Amino acid sequence: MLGASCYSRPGVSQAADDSELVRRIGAAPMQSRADESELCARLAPRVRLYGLKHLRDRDRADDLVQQVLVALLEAVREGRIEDPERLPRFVLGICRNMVTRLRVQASRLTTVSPEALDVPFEDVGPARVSPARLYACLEKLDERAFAVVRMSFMEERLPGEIADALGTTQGNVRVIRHRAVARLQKCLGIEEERS
Amino acid sequence: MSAVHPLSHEQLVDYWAGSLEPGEESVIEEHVLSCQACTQTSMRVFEVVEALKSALPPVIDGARVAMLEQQGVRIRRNPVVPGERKRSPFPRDIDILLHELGGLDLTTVARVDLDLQTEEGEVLWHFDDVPFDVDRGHLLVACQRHFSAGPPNLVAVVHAHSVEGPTPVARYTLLHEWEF
Repeated sequence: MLGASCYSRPGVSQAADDSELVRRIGAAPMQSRADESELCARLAPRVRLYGLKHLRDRDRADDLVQQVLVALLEAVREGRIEDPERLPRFVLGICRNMVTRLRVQASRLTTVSPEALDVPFEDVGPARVSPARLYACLEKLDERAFAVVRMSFMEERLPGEIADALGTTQGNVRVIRHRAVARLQKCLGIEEERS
Repeated sequence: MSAVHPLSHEQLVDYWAGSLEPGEESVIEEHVLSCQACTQTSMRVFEVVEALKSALPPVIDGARVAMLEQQGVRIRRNPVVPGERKRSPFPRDIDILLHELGGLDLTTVARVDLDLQTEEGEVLWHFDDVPFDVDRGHLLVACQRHFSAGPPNLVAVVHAHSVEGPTPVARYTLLHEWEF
């Protein structure tokens, strides 16, 4: 986890959108701790998902969150975000650059110390599913759905290969797959809003 | 191009499955970076996909076995021949009991399907188009500890589809003895 947990953020309106937070921080750098905490709390899970997709590793995704938030806060405090409404695109650009750097490195990134992110914020990562629970739910899928899920994710086959193996179309493979994932989420209890 | 909010479940499953074009992925990523609700939805899909990707498929190939051994996974091999009814202990100091379903002539085979069923004939799992080793004439079934939740006696039925026509079915009876 990054920084200290902070379960209440006094002084921050939950109604303020991300661009408003950026404007307020830029207008009064280092005097907007609550806004900075809120911005970090909002962006951390979003950046982590980007890291999980492109780095395929939880530890490295956590490193990415650290790196991106440090770079972002620096940019916001220095007023370098010209258009706060385009914050997502700005963050996406930082993510891409950082992922490129992280991929080049064999080990975890160590050039930024944890203290460099000097803002406490609440950060909850994705839950883990045990293999036993997963297989108990996989057993409940029909044969075709299980085959699509197994070939898509466990064996990482291309949609065309899966379609050929099952004698169907790629479009049908995608429909079967998303319905199977939805059923697995329901079986595993991962379909409700997380607190 | 911008994403329609909220992102659909289909889009997110396709995203995590790697089925989207790079441009489509960027659109989704930029939207997730702006949207708490879609972040949560995407995270829920990710949790399932991560578990699936981490799970070992029941039938694996030699390259996967080599990778697992390199990672320090403790594997015990259990060679079985067609028609055999074999005691198959799973001691507590191993991670995978690798059933080598051998004695197969796979030289003209284009595809292999596998059923795992009870001795009474109830099919518990059916696997289409599984990996097989032509040179060694076998399939590798990776039995993992969480499979102990199922019946201990299993019959593996191999259906090999040859380009020359039907081939005899091969049956292997595995009598698991779990040690915890």
